[in-house]
Amino acid sequence: MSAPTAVRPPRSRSVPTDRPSGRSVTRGQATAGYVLSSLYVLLFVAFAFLPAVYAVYLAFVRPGGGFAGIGNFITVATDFRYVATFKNLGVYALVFLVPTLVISIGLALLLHGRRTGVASTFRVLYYLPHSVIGVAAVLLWLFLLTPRVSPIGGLLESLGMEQFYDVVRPGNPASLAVLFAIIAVWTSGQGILLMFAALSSVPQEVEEAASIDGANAWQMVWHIKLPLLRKWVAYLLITSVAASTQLFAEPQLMSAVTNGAVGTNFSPLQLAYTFAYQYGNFPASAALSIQLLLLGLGGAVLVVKKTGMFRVEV
Amino acid sequence: MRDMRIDRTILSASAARTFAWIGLLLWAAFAILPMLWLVLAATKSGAALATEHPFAFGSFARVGESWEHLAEFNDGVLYRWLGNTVILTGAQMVLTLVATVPAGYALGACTFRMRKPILMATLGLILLPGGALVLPQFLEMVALGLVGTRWAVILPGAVFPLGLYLTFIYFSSTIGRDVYDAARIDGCSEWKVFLKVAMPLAAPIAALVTFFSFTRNWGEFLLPYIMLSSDDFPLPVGLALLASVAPELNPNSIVQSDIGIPEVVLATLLTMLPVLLVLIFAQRIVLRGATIMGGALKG
Repeated sequence: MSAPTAVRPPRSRSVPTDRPSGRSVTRGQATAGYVLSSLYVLLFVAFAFLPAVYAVYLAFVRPGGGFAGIGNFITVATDFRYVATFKNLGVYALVFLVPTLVISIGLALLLHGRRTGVASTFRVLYYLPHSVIGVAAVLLWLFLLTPRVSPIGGLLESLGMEQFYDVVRPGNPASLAVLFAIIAVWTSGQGILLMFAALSSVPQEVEEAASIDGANAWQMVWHIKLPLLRKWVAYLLITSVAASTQLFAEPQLMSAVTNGAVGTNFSPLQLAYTFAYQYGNFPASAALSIQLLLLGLGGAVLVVKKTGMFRVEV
Repeated sequence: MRDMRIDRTILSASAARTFAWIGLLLWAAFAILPMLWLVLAATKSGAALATEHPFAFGSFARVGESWEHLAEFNDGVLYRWLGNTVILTGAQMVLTLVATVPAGYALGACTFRMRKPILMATLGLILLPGGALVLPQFLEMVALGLVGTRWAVILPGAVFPLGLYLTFIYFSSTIGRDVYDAARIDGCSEWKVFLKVAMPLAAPIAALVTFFSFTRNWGEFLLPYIMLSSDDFPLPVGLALLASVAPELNPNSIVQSDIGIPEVVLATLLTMLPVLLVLIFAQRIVLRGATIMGGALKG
């Protein structure tokens, strides 16, 4: 496929080198660089960068046109569901992040040092639920918590729950936020894989030296293995926070199967959807989207700064 | 005295081993049992689900019956959903691969002015929640007149920043710049370096990008839900529709159909099965992917 060249940035005559070595850069390399990356850049600019810019613009425009200032932000912030959606998001993120981290690190530590075959078998087993994508995972857990079909139906019924709604009724400990967190943890085998790979990158000599120096298993974990996981924890944290702000399909499905009893306008993204498609208020919807973007970006910047993640030779 | 201490160490070590195994096996059970239950649930009728042992096998005839009900639902809309998913996912995978692999090579092997900005923007997008972009993307597609067409889902779905980043790491660290520089010194043109040196080495990273692209695009919900009409839905969105129709799941459903729990279970299996098979088949790729990611975060 020939790459479109329309978006190729203008090539300057003297291309300054961005490498400290001071190696002179041939024009051929620059041309190849631009041509080969052009399709990606085109798609990136058109379908990620421009929508983001447009969302920012839209958030400051009145629904009828004209500069709105922070009007749209006030509109969404004073909506009666606004606080609740972010509270749901917070509970969900917390109940999902902490166990994900603990389990990913814990199981990776337990697997580390097992025989290669054992370790890879278990890693594949832990990764399998990852294949139960989005809606399928929600439905699976919906079945598991619907008393009439659930394998633990007897238990649920003995607790006085006859319908799925009784299980996730607001106020129950197994509320929707917790249920979504359980689903997220269940499908989060990727974290275990990442942590295991990080542990495997510890040079053998380091561990040997430590054990010759008399370090026991706990000291080894605490002083050698855990510090090495720092950046991975950061990566997992950021992507998990970003993922959690995207909560949409899960509550939407819950809302559909309970006729709106639970799950309607549960997450901020759902509220943004309501503003856009029920009220036709796209500026307000954009204002809400911007807040989600900022939330993800703020968390990411914080974690990246703290850990020096992604400090690769760029 | 000394022997006793050794005894205690051995004892506590074997206790620790036992606990480790218990932990590992418990989590494996938590991971696998729900999936196993789902597979077996597809072989049972709604009544049998309530009465029989959760892990008992029903009959293949029941699977066939559920399949017939599914296939009859809304004049075979299931087949259209399946076809849509295949088309959408296939197109997104091809476009992702064609856009990502050459770009990752360019960033890893060539020096040019926009290199750093492209990488920085990509890292930024990896960390951003993509769901928040879907509504502006919808408005963009309205402006382009593409809403309701497959392009509205394919184009945004083909932007895969993590894939680009992994490809960049692969070509710059795993393979290494020296390889391309050596070929350049030997007098290869840039195109020759790309086609004859880099591409023959690209199979592992291409497989990885394809795999990730497949799993993320196959399960996509929000984008097609917003951009397409119900006949053009892919399976995951159709599945949600199906679940809201089943009276056993939604007591207030007003749609007349043969869709019950066994049918929804079967449709759920159908939705996840391709990903599961690919995952089992490509487990080495997944494990290798984690290692490449390791190169990205080390240091």
